[in-house]
Amino acid sequence: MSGFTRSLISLLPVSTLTLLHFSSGKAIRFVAFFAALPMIFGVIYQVGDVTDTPFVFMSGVMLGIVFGTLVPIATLILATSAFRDEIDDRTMVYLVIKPISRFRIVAEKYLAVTESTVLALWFGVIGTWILISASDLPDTVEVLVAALIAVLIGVAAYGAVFVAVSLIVPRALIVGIFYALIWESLLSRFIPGVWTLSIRHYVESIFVRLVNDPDVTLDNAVHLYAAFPALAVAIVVSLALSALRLRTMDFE
Amino acid sequence: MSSQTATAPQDQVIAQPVATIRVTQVSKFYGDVVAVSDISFSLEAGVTALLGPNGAGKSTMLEMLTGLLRPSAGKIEILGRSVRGDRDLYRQVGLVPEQEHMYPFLTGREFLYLNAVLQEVSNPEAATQRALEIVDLVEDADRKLGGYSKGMRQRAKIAAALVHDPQVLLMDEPLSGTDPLQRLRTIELIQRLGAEGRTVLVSSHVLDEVERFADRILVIVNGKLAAAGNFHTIRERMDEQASKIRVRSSEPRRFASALIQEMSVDSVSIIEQNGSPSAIQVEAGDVRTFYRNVAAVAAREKITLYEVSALDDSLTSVFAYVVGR
Repeated sequence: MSGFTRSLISLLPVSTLTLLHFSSGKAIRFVAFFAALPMIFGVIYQVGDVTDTPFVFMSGVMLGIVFGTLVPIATLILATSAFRDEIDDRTMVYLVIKPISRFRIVAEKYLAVTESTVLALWFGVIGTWILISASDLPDTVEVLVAALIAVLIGVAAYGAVFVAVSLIVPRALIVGIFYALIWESLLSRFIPGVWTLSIRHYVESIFVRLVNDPDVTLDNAVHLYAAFPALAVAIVVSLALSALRLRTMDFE
Repeated sequence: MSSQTATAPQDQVIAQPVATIRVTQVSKFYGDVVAVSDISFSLEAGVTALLGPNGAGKSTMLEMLTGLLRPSAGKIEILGRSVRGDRDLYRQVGLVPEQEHMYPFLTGREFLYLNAVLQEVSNPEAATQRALEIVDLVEDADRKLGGYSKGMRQRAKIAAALVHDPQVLLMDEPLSGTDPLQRLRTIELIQRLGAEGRTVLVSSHVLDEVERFADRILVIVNGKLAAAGNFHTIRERMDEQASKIRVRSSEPRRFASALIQEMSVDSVSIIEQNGSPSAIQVEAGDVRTFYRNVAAVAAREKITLYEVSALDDSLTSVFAYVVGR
């Protein structure tokens, strides 16, 4: 055992275990695939006949595909895998019969989900930014920073909600896909008010507010002072629900 | 467990000195299915076997004892504390689970170190090394668990349960998958843990296996506690019961005549195949005496014995006796 692994296990045992689990499984490959998808748009921008500025095009990619589809789906994959795999193969026994709090188990797993997904998506976002803004990097740094912050917050919010869903609902993957693709992408467009229960809308609002450019807009964009607390509440409530569920759960 | 004799299911008042495990009228239902029904017992230091056929409710009982499952009714206490919702209790409890799955991406050493850290032991490195030595896994400690044999995984699970030096150890089929040498070592380890004053509860469905490490047993059949007490007393009572035995020999009819004169034999019947006797079926009232004498009778009558096999020596039949059916 390397000193590095020993230090990681000593500091964050459950997170380290979860990260090692991710790195040895298929889920992380799907996440890497989804994270790399926006780079296709970077290539299209370079080889195609696109008239938008890199700033506007990059913002369009983030609002069009990254926040609405890739962030929730990539997060969903790891968030549902974090607990469900160990519950299904019964290795959760090794965690729950220990003198550590259930909240710590949830928090460390959540941390592993968030850091894995964020790193993968950041890699994709930075790659896309480089491809789109190859000749003009300094002028588009603002959109990159806004994108990285919004991805971080989006993953944090989706991660907490989907971890809770994976502990409460048997078919969490289906529920998560329904939420991301039907509720947030479809229903929130046509039914007034649905956006208030849409993580996507708050994340996109944060991005648009941070970019602060008249060419990058969003209907009903929420102010930062409303979006951050709303997502913070969603995270705290979801983690608390997860810990509560883990405390009352039977492990057979 | 203070009782030293076999008792009827209703009379398992086996408390007394300092019960480390106390189970009071515990039941577990899954809808209409009763997995465990109104079980009460208490255990003290030493090795006790939880015996029963597959599906009898042993694993459910162990899962409830460790707080993994909530009983539908009743109360479970370990060291005087409720097992659900008291996570500090896990500093005193170790579990060897039955399931095969572990973390294939961890080495044996990492797995034990992880368990030591999660148990918050003061020196996880030393605890890891000690546990590895106890189960004789030092040489393979740096191999991935995914490459371990079943027996090695079993040893790793035992080491993980011992890494924090628990007072109470619950083991679900710990000998399953081990080779004969490792089986012997595991049995010696279980005996040693019991002799050190720990409370060790070991589940098994193999009667002969249990005899080697536990002198006290709890027998669970169909979710009910069928018997509790001294192993040998219960085993002797089982042996005293009439048992059906099939005997194949060179001359079934003549051998049947010889055997019926034996005191240990209650009845003999001829089994025919294609109109001719192929074997005999003996109902022996005293099984031990029958087995002791059958070869001598054959030798005396100059009859060649081909096979002597118990027709109802399965655990189910043994437990059926214990239940009183």
